[in-house]
Amino acid sequence: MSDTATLQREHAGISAPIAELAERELVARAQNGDLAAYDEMVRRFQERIYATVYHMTSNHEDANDLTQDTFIKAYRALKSFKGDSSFFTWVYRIAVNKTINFLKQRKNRVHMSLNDMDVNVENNPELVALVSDKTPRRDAGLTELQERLNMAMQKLSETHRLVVTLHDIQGLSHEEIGKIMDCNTGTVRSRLFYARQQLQAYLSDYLK
Amino acid sequence: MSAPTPEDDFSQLRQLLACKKHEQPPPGYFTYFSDRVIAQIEIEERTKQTWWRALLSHFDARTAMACGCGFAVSSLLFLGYRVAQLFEATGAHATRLAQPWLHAEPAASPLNLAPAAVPTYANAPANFVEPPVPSTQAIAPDPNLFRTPSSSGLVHSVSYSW
Repeated sequence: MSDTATLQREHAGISAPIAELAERELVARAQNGDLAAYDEMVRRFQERIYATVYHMTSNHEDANDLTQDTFIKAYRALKSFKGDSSFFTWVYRIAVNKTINFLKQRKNRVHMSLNDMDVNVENNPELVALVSDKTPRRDAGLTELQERLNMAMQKLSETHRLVVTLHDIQGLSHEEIGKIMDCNTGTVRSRLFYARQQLQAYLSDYLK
Repeated sequence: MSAPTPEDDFSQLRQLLACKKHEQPPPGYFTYFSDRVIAQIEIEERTKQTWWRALLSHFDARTAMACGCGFAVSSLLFLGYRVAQLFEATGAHATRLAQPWLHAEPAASPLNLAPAAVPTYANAPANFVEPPVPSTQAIAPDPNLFRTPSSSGLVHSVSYSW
């Protein structure tokens, strides 16, 4: 048996009981220095945190670094986590603050490093139809659309981009976004409206 | 028929944005992501421990003891010096309070005034006799004034002759 498979099996054997624990229990264990518990917490939230950072930066390498830094910073600050909000909201807030600070330092120097589209995109008939209407070649159309979408997103301000990312791409509710961004739902709705208006203008070629 | 909501206005845009959900990192990217995070945390914690160990490794017990003793003796000497200084300052202050005249500035005295100009007699006539300069010597008191009384008592016998 290969070393990789052994490692995976061992890893699965170790994390199996921990995987069943509730978030609160995991947090308590991690606060006492249990790295296995924290490992499980990272596994639970890594994809969503990475996706948020990736859609904000449009760069895989930056998203990788920022997501790692987020979880390392969260572990260091875990003792200060009082449980007033969910761990998910708390770690999201760290990721968002880190990303916005990074984008402010980067300013307008946008260097996109986009991830490939997964195969499931072909199974989205509405999207395929939308792209096929505009371009004769489907593959070229999807790649072009991806670039145009990311360019349009990068033209938005950080807060507007964040609202669109969290709501329209990740599907979070207005209330959850309000908690993460530390503002009320009215502000979230208004930011979302203006962000969509701007995006609609930038992507008018694709919208009837 | 219901009025279109803001969500309906942006339905096409939302369809386009849904496309971004399909942007995925390379296959297997998340498999060892948490391992990398944990490894990084462990490295940071080990680095902290190594720092302490490196600091401690520079001191062996004998050197540390010698340094400690030296520091203690120096501290005691310095403390003694400071206490002595403090006592000295306190004693001087107490004397000043008890005997203020010892430290008082002398008042201006008429004796310290500038001496009067000595008259000159350059243009005096030839038969002019220079007046004597008044003596400034203290007049000595009569020694009998402070004579100790006789042992026979305060009353002395006085004889008169007519």
